[in-house]
Amino acid sequence: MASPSAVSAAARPAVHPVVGPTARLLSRLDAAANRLFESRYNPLYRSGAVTVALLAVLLATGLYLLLFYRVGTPYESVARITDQVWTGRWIRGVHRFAADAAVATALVHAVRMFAQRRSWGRRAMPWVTGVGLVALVLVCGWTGYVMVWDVFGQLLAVEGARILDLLPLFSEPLGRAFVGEQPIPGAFFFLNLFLHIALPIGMGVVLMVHVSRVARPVLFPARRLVWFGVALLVIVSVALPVDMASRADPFRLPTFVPVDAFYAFWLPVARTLPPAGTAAIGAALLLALLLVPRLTGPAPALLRPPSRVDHRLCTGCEQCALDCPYEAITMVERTDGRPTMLARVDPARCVSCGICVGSCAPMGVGPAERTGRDQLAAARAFARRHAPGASDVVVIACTRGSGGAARDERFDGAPVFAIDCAGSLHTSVIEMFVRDGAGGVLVFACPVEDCWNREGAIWLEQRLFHDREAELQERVDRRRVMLAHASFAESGRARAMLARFRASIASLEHARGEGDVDLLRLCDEAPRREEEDVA
Amino acid sequence: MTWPWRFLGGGTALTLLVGLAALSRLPYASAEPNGALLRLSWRARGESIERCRRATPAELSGVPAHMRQEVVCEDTHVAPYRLRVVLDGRTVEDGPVAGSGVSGDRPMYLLREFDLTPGRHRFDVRFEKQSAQQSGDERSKDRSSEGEHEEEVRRRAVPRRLSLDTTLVVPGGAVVLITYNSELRALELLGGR
Repeated sequence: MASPSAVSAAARPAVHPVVGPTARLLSRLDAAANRLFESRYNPLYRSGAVTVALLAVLLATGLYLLLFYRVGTPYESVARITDQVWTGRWIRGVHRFAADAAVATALVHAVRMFAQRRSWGRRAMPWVTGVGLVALVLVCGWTGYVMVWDVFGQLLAVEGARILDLLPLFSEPLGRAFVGEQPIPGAFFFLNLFLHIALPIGMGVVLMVHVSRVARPVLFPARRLVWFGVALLVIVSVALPVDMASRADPFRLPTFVPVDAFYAFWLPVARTLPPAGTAAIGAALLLALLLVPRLTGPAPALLRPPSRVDHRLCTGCEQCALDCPYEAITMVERTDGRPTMLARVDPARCVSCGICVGSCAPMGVGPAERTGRDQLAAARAFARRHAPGASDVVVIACTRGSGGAARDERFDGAPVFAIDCAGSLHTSVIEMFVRDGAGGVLVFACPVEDCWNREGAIWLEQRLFHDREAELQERVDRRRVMLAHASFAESGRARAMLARFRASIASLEHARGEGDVDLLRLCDEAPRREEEDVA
Repeated sequence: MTWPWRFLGGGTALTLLVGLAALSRLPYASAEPNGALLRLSWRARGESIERCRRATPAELSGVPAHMRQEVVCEDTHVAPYRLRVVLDGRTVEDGPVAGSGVSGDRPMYLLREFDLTPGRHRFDVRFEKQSAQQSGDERSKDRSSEGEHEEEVRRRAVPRRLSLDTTLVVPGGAVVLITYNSELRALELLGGR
């Protein structure tokens, strides 16, 4: 067991030179977006799900466009679609802007995962597949623009061919296909169309792998946010319709080409450097992105250890397996003769989030030195040090959000018990503070949609107020317990909530402590009682 | 959440999307406003060169009678050509062009581009087989030329010497393409309008 005073202090993580500033910037943006959209509709929180929703929009609009596209007359068929004032024109616009927005939201999602330290260790695989997904989206967009076969499509095709010709794949250099020596064969546009359709199927497969290590993946944002986004896309597509650029002509040099910055950001480099230089830069960038987990993550020795199960205490209730956001816990048969099941942690999947700590009533599971028992011991030492009185509020704050309350020992005068993730908080800690005589306990968690461990804030609320297993005991006066959500930069909001809670505590009768409450003893009795019940 | 905040949120999202739409059609200067281009592009089957020697009696006795060949030819490759481009009296390219493929036995592919200014230009393009000293056991020969296809193969192969010397007024923004016409067995000029 860790030294009691260490748990609260150790919960405050060291600041990484790159990750720290990125997280701070992101936190400010989150706070601004929360004011504008409310946290449940904050698109920054659901950037990954918003990207998937945009891909769904692309799929729906793409199916319509496919009905009218002709590989024999690519430019003319797209021009005909664009001439459909009531349908094709804005559907094409939605298709295009959704493709751009998908790149933007995917980048936000990547930055978010990086800043929240969710891109390394056992989370490296989703990062790597995420990079692969972005690459597939970019290639798919490339084929989409080539389909139109206007000057932009021609530019992309020519520059892309110059790079592809470096690979010893083609018997004849691809670049020669676009010089006008002969008409471009219909097979080229057929193959391009095939790729444009096949790549999204590949994306679906990679997406499945991407989310395969999380339980209950959220693939779509709130329905209202989806419709709001679609409505905005339609409005912009109608107001700023996508026009046809000039037809591709191998015998003309277009001076200005309207390019899509999201898919053609590499063009200035490609047209300045020789193809090998462009390819080298692209490969280096891709490699650097793939190596982010290794380059920016802590050394393997410093990675937090996975959770462990105390066989003696496990009652086989399955709650930890149900609550684990990463499906890292399964229930297996016991070998010690007890009739219950036993929780088993898969170290390859466990990210050491500690959510299972809060889900285990007898405190039988959790990462080393961060178990419920460690929390309780730290809380007891904390109570002795601060001796919160009947009119005092103890703040339990998640280090990742909570309006930054966990940065210091005190927040607006209230003593702060810092914790890694509010979802890992064992309810006994709250009970101990209340029964020890504190006027109230205010638990600050991240916004529900932005829990760094995915579902911590949801499970905590259910444990406190909806009797989810490992619930806050009935004997605890709920009027003295408050759960509030705030992102890291929402300091003012957190202070206001603390002030409101203090006012509500002041209106209650004087809290009375019960003296030395031994909750550990009660917890230890639980498995014994269960065994006796079985007997 | 109050209505003013909702409107502000909606307005912000709309502004972001309008910005995104603007980034979606950025004007990119893909070429000099007053530029033109000379492009050389063709595919040509060159004459094959192979190194031949007489098989030793030991080699011949090691294979079945129906597979015995007295002359063994290997190291087949396309005879290298030389491309020379003189633009307005200035040599802008002068170098060898080899057959493609790992062994250099595939057709020659050529794609070169030269920036031009609009106006009158003289193009002098020569594509000639390099005269190489052939050793006694090397011979210029297309393997498939043996037999009845000899004439057809010779017809498909690029001539030993191709040239185009012409003057053209090139307007701004035009691409002049010089390519090999296998029917005419000559270089020809396309585009430049």
